[in-house]
Amino acid sequence: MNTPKVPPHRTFPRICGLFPPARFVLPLILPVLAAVTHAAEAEPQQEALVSFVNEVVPVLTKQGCNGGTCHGKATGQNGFKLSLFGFEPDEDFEHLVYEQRGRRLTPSAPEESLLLTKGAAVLPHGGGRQLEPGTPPYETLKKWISQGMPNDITDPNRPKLLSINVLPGARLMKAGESQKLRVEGAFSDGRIQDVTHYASLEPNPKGMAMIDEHSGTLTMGTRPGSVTVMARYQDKVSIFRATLPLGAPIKQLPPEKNFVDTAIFARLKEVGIPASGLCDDSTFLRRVTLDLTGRLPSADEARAFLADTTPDKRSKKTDALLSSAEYADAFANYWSSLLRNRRGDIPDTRDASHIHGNFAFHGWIRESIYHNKPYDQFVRELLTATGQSADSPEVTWYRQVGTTIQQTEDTAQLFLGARIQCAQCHHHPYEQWSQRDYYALGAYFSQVNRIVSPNRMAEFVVALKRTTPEATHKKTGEKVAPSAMGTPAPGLSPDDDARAALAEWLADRSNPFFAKALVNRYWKVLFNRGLVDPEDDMRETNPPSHPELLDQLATNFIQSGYDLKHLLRVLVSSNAYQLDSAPNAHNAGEGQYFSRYYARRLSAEQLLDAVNSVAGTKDNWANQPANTRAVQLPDNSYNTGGILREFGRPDASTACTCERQVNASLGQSLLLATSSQIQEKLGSGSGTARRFASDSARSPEQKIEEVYLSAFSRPPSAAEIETAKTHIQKGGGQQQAWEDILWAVVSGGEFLINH
Amino acid sequence: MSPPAKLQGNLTAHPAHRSSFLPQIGLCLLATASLSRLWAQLPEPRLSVVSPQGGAQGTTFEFVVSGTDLEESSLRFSHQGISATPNPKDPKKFNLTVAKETPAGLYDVRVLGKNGVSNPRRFEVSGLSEQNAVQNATTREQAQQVVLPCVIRGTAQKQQVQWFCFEAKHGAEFFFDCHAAVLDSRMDPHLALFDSEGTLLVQSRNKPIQWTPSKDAKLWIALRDFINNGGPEHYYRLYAGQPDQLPKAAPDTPLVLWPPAASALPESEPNDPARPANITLPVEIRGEFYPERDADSFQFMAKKGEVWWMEVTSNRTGAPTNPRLVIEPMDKAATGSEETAQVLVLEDSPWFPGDPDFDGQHFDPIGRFEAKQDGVYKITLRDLNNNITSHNRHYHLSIRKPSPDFALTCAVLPPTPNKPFKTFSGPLITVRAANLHPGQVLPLRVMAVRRDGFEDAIRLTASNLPAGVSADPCLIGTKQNEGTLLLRASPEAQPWSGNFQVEGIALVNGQAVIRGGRMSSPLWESTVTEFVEPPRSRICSETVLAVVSAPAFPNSIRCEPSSLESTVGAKIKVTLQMEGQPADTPITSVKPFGIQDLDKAKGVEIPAMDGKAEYELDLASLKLSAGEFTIWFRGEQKVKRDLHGKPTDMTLSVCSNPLQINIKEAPKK
Repeated sequence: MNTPKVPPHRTFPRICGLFPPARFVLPLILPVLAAVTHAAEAEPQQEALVSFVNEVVPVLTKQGCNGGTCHGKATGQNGFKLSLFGFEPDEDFEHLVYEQRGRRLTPSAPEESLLLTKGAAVLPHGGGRQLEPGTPPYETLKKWISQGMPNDITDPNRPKLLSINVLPGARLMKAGESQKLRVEGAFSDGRIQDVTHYASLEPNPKGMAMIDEHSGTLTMGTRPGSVTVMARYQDKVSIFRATLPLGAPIKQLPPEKNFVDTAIFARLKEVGIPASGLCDDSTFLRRVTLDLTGRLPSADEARAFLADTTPDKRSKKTDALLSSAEYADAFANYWSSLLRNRRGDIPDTRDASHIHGNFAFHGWIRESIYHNKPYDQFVRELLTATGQSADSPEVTWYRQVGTTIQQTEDTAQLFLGARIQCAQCHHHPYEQWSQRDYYALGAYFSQVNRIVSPNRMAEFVVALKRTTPEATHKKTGEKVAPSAMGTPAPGLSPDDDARAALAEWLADRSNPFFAKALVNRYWKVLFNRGLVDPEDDMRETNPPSHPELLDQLATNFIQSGYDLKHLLRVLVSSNAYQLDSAPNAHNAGEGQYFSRYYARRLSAEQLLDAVNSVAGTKDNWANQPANTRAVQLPDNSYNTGGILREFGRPDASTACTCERQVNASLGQSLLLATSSQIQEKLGSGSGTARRFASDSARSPEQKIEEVYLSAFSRPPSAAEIETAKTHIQKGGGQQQAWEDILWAVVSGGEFLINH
Repeated sequence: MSPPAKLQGNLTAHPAHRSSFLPQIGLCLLATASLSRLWAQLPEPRLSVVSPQGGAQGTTFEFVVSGTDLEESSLRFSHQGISATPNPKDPKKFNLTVAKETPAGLYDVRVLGKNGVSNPRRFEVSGLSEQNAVQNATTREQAQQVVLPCVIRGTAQKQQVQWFCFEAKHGAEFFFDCHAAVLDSRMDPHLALFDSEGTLLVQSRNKPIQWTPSKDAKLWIALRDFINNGGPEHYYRLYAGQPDQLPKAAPDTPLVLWPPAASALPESEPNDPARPANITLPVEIRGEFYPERDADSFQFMAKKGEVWWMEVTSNRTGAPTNPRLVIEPMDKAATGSEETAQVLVLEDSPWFPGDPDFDGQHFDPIGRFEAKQDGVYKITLRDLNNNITSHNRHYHLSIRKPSPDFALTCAVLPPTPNKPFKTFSGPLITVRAANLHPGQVLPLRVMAVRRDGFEDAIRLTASNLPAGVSADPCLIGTKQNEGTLLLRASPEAQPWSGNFQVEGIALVNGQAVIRGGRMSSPLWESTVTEFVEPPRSRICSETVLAVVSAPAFPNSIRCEPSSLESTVGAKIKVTLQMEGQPADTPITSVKPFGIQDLDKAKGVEIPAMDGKAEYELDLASLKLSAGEFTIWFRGEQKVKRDLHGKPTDMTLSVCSNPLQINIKEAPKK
């Protein structure tokens, strides 16, 4: 190991503390310390100087001192502030050495330093005991203080960290087994150094494994599955992935219909988790219809599908659904929310009146999906939108995503699957993205000029300023030219539309993010969990559960010409998608490997439409044609109450699907049980209950079957028929009795869940 | 039935609300008769909807008008080939005949009655068979079968889709074009074409759809208002047929004030920024922004001091373009970098953007170029909206020696001026026509678009006025863009109606030129609470004036002196005197109008007793520089008038003669 040398001209940082004594006194002390150091330098067995950047700051990070909940938060903690995760060493040096008149550090008696006495909880410390005397972190800090707090931030000879690597990278483990991890740092002077005791190690998900951060030893728990350990040292990250197989015998797996099945089933074999069986036709029909069109199959559709004996009926049904207008409705609903098609928040103002623009934008999205516009073209048209919303509805995106910050962050999140928000203010803690990367991406949008048109029909205009595209780095004030995620700057003139260059980069077949982000996004739509999850947080430290499958899907998607219907067809036609949601003896707790279909509650729109479908009712929406379904609504202005609000239709305020509420609540149960919305639908004068009560041509059994087919896409069992019939007979076949039956159906778990 | 006119006026924000408010208004009038805002104004015909909104050549049919104050009316069409005779049983119905030789196209119809002339509505003549839309064809199954070519006349119903079906022939292109906005309709039409499987083939908002079937097929058209509004004011005429069967309507381009030369040169490739095409000035070029992100470049020689005006005409012709013109020296190195070289960027040059009387919003660049040195210059023309390849982005580039000129548009100024739609503080858009009562002074707002740097004052006048009606001399001051023309009817003026002409006279290049003004009219009354619809106006086919028999205006305001000279920053004082018959009531809230920043001027009262008041104007606070200006005064006078046989309290808007102010530079101390 090389020994860092003392720079010939030690540079102390700019003194900008608020307390004059520190500024004046420390320069007097430090040369003395430096003299001591120089004296020591003359000794042949000279003690190596502790590196502030490579050792001190990483210790503070590893001990959690500069975390977001401690001194690393924007306002610091109890008057002591450190930069988040140590990404700004110069600021940390200033705060440690000079701030508060230099009272935090005492070179003449290092143990007496507040940094150590507080950290070791010798003095009261809100954060508890983070430093143990005698341990390497404590001793590193002590040594640095005793050396006179050498500062190597600007030292050109300081070895710079180039990368880190965790060894081993991945392995299968047994329950309770331990694995010592070694984190190696590669430095600019060619050294490969063990930095394990400086690196932060965090398992994800927590609870599946324990890690001893000092020794770097991971101990697996007993829950089968994969756990990722993220190692972070300075601004570099690396991961180790441990998998604990269930090890159950895999006697049989469904046949592999395509490469999706190959990958999913191979992984199940690897981890020893038996897959559930394939779902029955009723379940498939209901699932695929809900997933692709957002609606329930009608009773007639269910009857026809169940009666169909052809072997390819599932793929034929998939094709029919993908060709339908309802497919466009469902996915326009999905994208409309993510693209923030929303009315303003201030009633009776121009802000709230974006009705023309919103309708047009929703129409543009829907038409794009209906005509299966290639995804790269869809994104290109969106990002490079200019003109008036009346002529170019896609400019509406720029109305809602109004600032360069929003445009940058939404673009990254939507189309690259990257949440880069952190990098606006500091280096991304879990990623390679720097602040410079952030502003370089933002520079693509620097020419966007949003104009509120004086003509309200035009509503909104996007033009381009004739300026050299560039962004201003918030911290350094530096002008940053457009470049995408570390790629070379394309060199753009004021007459170029920088966004077009961004769109070209996105759609380039070699782009490592674009296709993966979309296939992962659509995977989650169908499988209820992304291969990377959350689906828009794809990063090195949040690796995919099936990396090869993600690559294959992305490649397949690119080769198809970014054909969204093709992608959905590939996914839906796999047996992985068609697995039953009911667990077998082994996979009930499994949530990573897709060993069964992960059931979920119907979305707010699906539920409202489903209730209407079963109850035989319709809603009347302002400014919408009669018979409009909830999944067809263009913006958030309809989320005023009832099912849409209680079941969490998103407000389109963010580009994240997480805005959609998917959890259950007491309010939802109460709404289904007691709300006037449900009761009015069930008791409608033109609804199913009324129709059944006055229909003497059909038997109760036929009507009960109709209800079950329309609600569950399956015929009722004999017991269900008997129970329902008894109730109807007790109620004299009156409307109230039928309302009871319908209520029982729509408030039950089988109805509320897409399984 | 319309409510009595005396109870209408500025109480009524929207015609639809009137009837229900009548009892309350009556009570209010009794209880708070002193509140001027509750006093009625003179009845004035307002035409809301005519039905049908057009007809075929050589046909006769029943024609119905709706609106307010339309009593004892006849119809006035802007083409003699269209005539109507009243239905004696129903004053709002007429038998209308479109003469066979009447050219297909758009015309104006107005109602002319005892209360004057109404605002216009469009009436369209076609050469096709016309049929009415079936009201209940609101589902695909109930679609109305139509035979092409035809015109379907209908009204959008709220939250309903209107369905039509027809037989299409293999390879025969057809065309559906829904006329709505051009007919003054409030409808924003959306068309969608479906095949027999229910597959959406093509859809379009407010634009025609074209389709060429690949086989003989039955097809369906779904028509609705874009935001699913409906009602009588959402009418349409749907043209359906093969392109050669439908009229080639000239595009409505009210903002193309100086049509570009038809003899323009077509652009010829290569003419991209790296290989600009050589041109010699002056020049007229027509081209196209094609394909996406097309940039057309031209280079020309210019001598130091040469001045050229550059104008692009594209967005004003209806193209969805936003052109940008950049002029720069070919050899930038000789003049410096991008930052230091003479680079001129021309972008939007709108006129009166968002103005409800005349919305001149457009995105075409117009500007002046002066060569700073001898050399070769490059012009590059781009369309900022051209990120998608399409063939509807034509342009015309005109580079000419300065050709100063002006064009005028006028509108009747309501008591509360229509304001640009910039804030939500409550402008009310009122629909007015030029109606003049004996003794009345009627202000017309005149807006000037100046060309190629023309700055001089424009004197306003009017011609073709009937006996007893005159125009007070007014002017649009130097560098000003609007002024007021005051039409004055003598107390003896006789009932009349007809076309008149607003004119502007100015010295252009030393020669006196006269330019006629086009009349513009807001289309619908609206308030800012109607967020979904902007105020719209359009140019009328005719500039119609009516002199109404009664009631007469008893008084007007005389401003003395009528012209004066002053200096920049001085204060001026005028005397306002009530003219006309002895009055029982004062003229209140008398304020000056005619130049900017007078909105907050204080109001004075001209008492009935001695009929005089003084008004002081602080030129410094108005920030008026040297030049000629015209201002005028307006106030309110409450009178009792017989209306529908009943004595009614009314508020008259009383105006003064113009005051010409010639402001000179203050002498240097």
